[in-house]
Amino acid sequence: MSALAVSLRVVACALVFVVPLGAALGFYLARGRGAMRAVADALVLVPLVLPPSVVGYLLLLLLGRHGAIGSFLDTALGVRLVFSSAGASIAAAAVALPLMAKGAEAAFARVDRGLEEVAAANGLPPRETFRIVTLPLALPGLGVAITLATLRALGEFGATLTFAGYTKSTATAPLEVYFAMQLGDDARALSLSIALVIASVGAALLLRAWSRR
Amino acid sequence: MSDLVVDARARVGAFSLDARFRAKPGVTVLFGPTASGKTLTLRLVAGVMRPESGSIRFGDADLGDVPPHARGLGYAPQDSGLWPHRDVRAHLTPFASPERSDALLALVALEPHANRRPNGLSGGERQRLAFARALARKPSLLLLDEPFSALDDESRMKMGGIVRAEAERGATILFVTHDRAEAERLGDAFVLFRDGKTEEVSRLRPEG
Amino acid sequence: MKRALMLLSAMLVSCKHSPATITVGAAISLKEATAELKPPGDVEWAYGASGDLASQMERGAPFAVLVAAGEQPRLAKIATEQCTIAWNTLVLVKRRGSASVAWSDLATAPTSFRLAIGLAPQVPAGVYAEEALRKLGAWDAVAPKVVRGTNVRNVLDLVARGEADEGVVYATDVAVSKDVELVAEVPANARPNVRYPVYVANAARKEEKDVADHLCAPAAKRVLASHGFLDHPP
Repeated sequence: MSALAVSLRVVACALVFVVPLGAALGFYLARGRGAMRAVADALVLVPLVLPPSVVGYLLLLLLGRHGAIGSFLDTALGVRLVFSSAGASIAAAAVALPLMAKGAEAAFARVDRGLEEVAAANGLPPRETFRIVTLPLALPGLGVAITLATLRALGEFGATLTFAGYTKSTATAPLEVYFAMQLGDDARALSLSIALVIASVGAALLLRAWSRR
Repeated sequence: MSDLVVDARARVGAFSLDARFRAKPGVTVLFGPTASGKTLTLRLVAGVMRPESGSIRFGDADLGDVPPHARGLGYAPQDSGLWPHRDVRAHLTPFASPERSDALLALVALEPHANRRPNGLSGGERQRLAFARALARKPSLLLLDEPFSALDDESRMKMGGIVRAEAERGATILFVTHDRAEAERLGDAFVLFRDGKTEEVSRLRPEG
Repeated sequence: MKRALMLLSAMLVSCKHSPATITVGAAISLKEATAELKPPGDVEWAYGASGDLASQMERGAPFAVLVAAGEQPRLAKIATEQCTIAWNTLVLVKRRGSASVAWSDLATAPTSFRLAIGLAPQVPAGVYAEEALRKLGAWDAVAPKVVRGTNVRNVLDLVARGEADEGVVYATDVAVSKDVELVAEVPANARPNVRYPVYVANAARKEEKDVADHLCAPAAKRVLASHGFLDHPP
């Protein structure tokens, strides 16, 4: 079923950016302070509180061919994101990033600062402390965040349709369910839906396993 | 070999600390009732907390803007601060070579537990590990916060001997305890803490 | 506690279902024109791609009258065609200010060229566009350059935003967007018969049949003509 293949490709590409960027954002939100942090927190939440079609519309204004940044991409690099798999990944990433960032924030906030302090006081430089103490302790929580972000990216519909459009390279499983239903192709709509349910349940089980560690 | 000069003020909630003392190479015991500012003082010297005013000097250097990892310290906090995800040996290997790590484990009699995680250790074993970690880099400034409170007398004497050996080596050691006998046994100098104020004395007065 | 209950009951009022209004499905290209029609009763218009609306109607959506932009064979079992309310022409449009590519040059346009047409089979404008391009013998060459819109106004929007270089919409759609310019009408030899049939469900209520009668009357046809629709086949 190529719709699932498109979904996997789109989600995998989205996660490549969402996981490290979301984790970094989450770390900053957990440890930062002051006005900058408050602004970052509000911005991160925007795609979460907006309806997905609005997110897609804003992406269009920004990254569409004549959009603020999109026009540069088009004229300077010949890159057109609408009707491309990259565009679908951007839509999925936009809605998944808040989940990754907030989940990562919770994971890093739960790490006992005292354990980091004793590492530093005994001579470990900050990067080593992060690698040896902070990150391993945050890992279970980060796993939860990654699972939630993946599920969200997998299920994304409104932003994808509004921004990336509906074409062979953007026809993710959720989009295909919708259009199969429109055409009265219940067999296809149902089988894709079942596949998505299985993927979601699988991810939810993974979530439980991660959080038990 | 350097003197540590502490002249710092700090506040945590309603508690105010005004710590002033000099610690020469050797063991300086910080002695006093609970919640009198001893742990807070160690945290200031370690650099995990900044004083509101005043300074902390080690030798010629003002430690003010020096981050904790660059202060040349060893630190064993009161709760041991062990990392639950790393086994005993892995607490030492970030700081010392494999050979030295094994030697340290032997020194504190933790060799049999080298592959155990902290939650598989007794309270005393945890303290010995925290102590070994503090020694790992042969620090010139050693901060020990009630490091042997959970040990039996024999282990306590043995660990105390290691502390004395570090003192002979020329390290400047701050040792927090409220065990009078241990204080008198190990201390070269004493700083009495009461309600956030310090008083330097050359020996502990007998209990009145 | 009392205040919470009061708030809850106030919100529950919004869940009230009012089936009194008559819902009429209409092709989205009729959006502006239908606003001027005054059918009897409390009429609510549901706009969309005609094929999508017909699917919904077939599956029991609560509208019994549909003004489609093309024939909907799937409705044969549950509805009858009462009349044709208007006809339309297919046109090629581009974003205002960009270079024109004529109908005859679409086949030889570079592969980076994007032509927006409606999704087939649910968007009649897309079905008509494919039909026209086939008659011009250009479909095989143009198909790889095609991007799809979910309805004819979505196609118009894609052209307006420049996401598609040109698009195939109805003549009446051109005036709707100020960012879009006409390139050319479809050549006469490829002209599809774009017509708007009015379907009435066999199970329609009297009020719904009255609406259909109103739509099929001369007055309605005049309103559509004033919006640029044809009153005869193109």
